[in-house]
Amino acid sequence: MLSNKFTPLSRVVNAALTDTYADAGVGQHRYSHWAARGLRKLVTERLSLPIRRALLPVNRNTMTATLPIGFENEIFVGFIEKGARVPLPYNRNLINIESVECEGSANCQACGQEAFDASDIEPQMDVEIVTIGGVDFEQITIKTIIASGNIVIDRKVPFLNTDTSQVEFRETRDVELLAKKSCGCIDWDVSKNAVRGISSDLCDCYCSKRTSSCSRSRGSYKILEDAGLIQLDEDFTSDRLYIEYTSFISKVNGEYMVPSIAFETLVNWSKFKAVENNKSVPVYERKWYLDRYKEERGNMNKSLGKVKLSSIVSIASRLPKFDITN
Amino acid sequence: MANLLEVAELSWRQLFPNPSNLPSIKKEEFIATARSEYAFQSLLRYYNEKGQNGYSEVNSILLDEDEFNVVDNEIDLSQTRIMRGLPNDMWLQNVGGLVCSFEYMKTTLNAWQLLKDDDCLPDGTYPYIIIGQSIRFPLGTHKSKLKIIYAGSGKRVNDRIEIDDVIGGIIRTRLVEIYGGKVGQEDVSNNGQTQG
Repeated sequence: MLSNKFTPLSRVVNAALTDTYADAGVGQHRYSHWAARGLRKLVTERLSLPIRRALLPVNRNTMTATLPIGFENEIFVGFIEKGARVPLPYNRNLINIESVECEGSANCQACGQEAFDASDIEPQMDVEIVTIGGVDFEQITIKTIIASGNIVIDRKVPFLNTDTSQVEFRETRDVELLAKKSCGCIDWDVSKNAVRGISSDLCDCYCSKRTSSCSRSRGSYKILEDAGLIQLDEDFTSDRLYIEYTSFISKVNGEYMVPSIAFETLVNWSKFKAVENNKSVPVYERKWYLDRYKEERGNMNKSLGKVKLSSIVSIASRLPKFDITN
Repeated sequence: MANLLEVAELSWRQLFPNPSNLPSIKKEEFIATARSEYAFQSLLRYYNEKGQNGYSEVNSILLDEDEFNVVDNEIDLSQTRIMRGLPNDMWLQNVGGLVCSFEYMKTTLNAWQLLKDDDCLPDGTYPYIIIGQSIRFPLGTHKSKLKIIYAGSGKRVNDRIEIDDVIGGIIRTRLVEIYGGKVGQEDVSNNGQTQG
């Protein structure tokens, strides 16, 4: 059990300086460094990490939220609705597109839309069978998207020439204009029907992905520790993300706080670090300081492992198969 | 127990017993030497104590407290007489005064360069580094004037301060060693002969 009492790290430093008769002017900075390292070591190895809660603003453009300072691991990610927290599932497939390098085409400076490269689109050919006089003929339609963003439709249509009584082919060319934005870029949302008729793949790349089906997803998340972000998907609608996380030891009122139970352990740790690599200190003396640290740490572990007898009695008395008589 | 002035007087009379003679040095210089010698002997006592006990503190009688201006996060001490002989810059005992609500921490240039990005210090701590004859505050200070407690070189030692007999004896012996047989009387005659 961890004591709820805390002591400022500076007291650990002062205690170590006092014990070693060290000059504060020479040792305070170094002892502070060693004490902080010792605290991180103890927190990582033995003491429980503090749990913190935060409401993070969400960037609706990138669907990201910035991880709080000191973030170590998430315990809960979700949002607050009607006073209750609603969890979000983890989605390992989410990526932060802003961090992906764009290769090739440049974006429009006005609307940010990726430049359209018509050479990537293969013309689409449709063949329709037309029967004239009991004979089947092919009516070929070829749709091509050109660089200007228009659709050129070339048709080869069979017809019966009444003068010659022969079936001949008429070739036509039509141009269908795609809707354009004011900057000249193709408005894919408006043009998706026309485009879908040519290439469904193209539509998937450039058109809006929203479907008419009802979606019950409240969103999902993924932690991007390298970027310091939480990536959310587009189904997340709230402006604030609620997160519970373990934090690497944090300062309280601007200073690291040490659990009282770990005070002596840290003091002895600091004293040991002061001599550990000091060549003027004999090896047996360095070992003596190390042994003192280990002794105090052992005492701390024993205290952490202790359970009050009253707690044992209380727990046992709640179990029906145990009959505790006072 | 005698005071420093009495010890200096005793040495003076030992060196120049005839009051009618005019020594070539001034008495004020002689007393100033006594003050410096007192500070030096205090320093030696510090080393002795440290050697015997493993630690020692700066003799409190050597400590002075003054207020200095802070200009561009720097305090100039070039005009201050400081006992620089103390090891590890122990001459600088405190910045900010005893009742300052802000935390000032002495550090070294080496430690600062290694640990300046370390967040081990409490927020709002103002470190300071001694560089040459100035004190620099890499993170600034909270005021434009700061009190400093430091070990002076004897300038402020009150001539009538009581000193223990051991130190007094050592100072007397040292003054005689310094000036004995080396400083003659001033020649006030016109016959060219040195007076004894």
